[in-house]
Amino acid sequence: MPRRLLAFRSTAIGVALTAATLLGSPASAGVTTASFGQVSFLAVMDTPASSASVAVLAQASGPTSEAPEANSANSDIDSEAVKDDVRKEVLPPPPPKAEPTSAATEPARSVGVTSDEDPWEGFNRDMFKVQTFLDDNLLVPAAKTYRAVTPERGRRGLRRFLSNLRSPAVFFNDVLQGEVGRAGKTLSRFVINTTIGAGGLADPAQQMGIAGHNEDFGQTLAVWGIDSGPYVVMPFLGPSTVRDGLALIPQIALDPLNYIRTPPAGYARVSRGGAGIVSGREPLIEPLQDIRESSLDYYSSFRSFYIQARRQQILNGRTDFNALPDFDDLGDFDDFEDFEDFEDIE
Amino acid sequence: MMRTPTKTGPLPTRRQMVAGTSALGLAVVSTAFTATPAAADQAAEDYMAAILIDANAAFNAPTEAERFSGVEALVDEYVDFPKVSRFVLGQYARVITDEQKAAFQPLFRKYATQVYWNTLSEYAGQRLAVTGSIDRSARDIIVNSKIVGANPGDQFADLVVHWRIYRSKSGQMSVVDAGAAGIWLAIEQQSQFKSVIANNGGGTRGIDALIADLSRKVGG
Repeated sequence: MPRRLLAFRSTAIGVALTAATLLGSPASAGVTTASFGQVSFLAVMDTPASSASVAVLAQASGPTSEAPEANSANSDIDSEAVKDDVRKEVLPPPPPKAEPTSAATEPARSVGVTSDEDPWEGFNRDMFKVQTFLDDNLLVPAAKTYRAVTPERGRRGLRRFLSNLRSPAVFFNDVLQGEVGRAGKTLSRFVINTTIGAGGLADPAQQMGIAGHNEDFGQTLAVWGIDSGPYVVMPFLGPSTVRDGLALIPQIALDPLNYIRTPPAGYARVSRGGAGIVSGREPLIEPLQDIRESSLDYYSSFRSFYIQARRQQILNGRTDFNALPDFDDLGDFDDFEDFEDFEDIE
Repeated sequence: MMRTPTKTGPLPTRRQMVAGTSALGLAVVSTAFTATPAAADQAAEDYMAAILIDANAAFNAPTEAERFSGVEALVDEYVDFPKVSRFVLGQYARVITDEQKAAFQPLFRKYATQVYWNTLSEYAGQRLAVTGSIDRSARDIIVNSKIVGANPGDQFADLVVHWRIYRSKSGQMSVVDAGAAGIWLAIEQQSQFKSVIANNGGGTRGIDALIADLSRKVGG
């Protein structure tokens, strides 16, 4: 599962079945170019938020970073420390009313549809067939070729480079979501990886314990409370929701490479897009194949994983256990007769 | 500790004192928060920790066949299949016939075991340790675990693996779902199964189709 689930956790999933990256807009990753990044970066640096980000940045990269045990060379993790760390990470807030600012208390509709709410299933299934066809006949062969002709180190480097290119947009969205701490992390990663990380080809920030994350404008809209609308598989764009699909429009519109009409810009746009698709698809060859093989119905399996993962992205990893469906609703086969008593006990 | 060889001596400045006091205050506050997590369930944590130790042993078996049968035995022992079966069938659990139930259960058990195997074998060689728990209710507990000794930057370094523990009326605990990073297997299975049933006419007809699909899948 890790490999499989990580596949969905990773931003590359949007890339997996999408041709949107040709425009430099992976469906689930913040889209940017270096130049767009600089512009937004500078714009935000002028706001008061920047001093807070820088303070957080200093804190995060100091020796007392949030994950002290992660810096320990000792492989034997102090279980109490990890315990506290994980509690912080996954603890749901106390009863929703108590903490109105928590992401976990966002209206459910903005966080996302449930994994089998799919009013446009007929259309979506048709589009999914198209996607799968393109995937089987174009993306997977390309990704396999790419794998065959490049060393793993090189591929990892390219993935990191492309991810670093996206980080200014991630930062921008972090800020728009009011996530000062995460913005600080993104900023520090960008600075560290662009400089000592050889322009983003390496990821020294990760080794310092500053893990990366992704944001895109769809997630920002979700945090702002905008409903996701139904799940939709769009022709050539892959799985999404109405909100997240529409959020691609400003992302694409704000990509300066789409406005520079010179051959080098065109070349850069196409290479970035092409590299993004193939590089994003390559690590997912086996995970998606696994899911396809082990599922009874690839479409609904994929939909459920996608929706669950998207929800996690929007909640920024703060798992909302209260939103899980109840196991108790139906009792079980053995004590179905006792269902009524069961309710009384609860 | 660093010494400051100044004439003013080691007396802290006002700023240092304020900083020190706030740090202490923060420490106290954070201790208060972490020492009494909102709703942890020690019994469920212990229960899961013991299973993880067994799982670790199962994965240390020399051959793949032995590893598989080890996992199978664990799944048989700890996963509450009647409970999970009802869950994955969603509303159709209300209409399933006794005959269908008898056919569905063993097939689903086989299917789910295979999924657990595929899932857990990714961790072979890693050790998972329980890191905390959250009560959704007194009967429905999430236990979290993490890979022990993952270095920063490792693929699984920050991965939280969740286990959903159900406590029956009599206090007996069982595992009903597993997930990672907020993505759950039984929820995905429910989504698939309901979809297969609905797309094959729904009701008992749809359930027949699901049973046929499952049977093809697990070669039963």
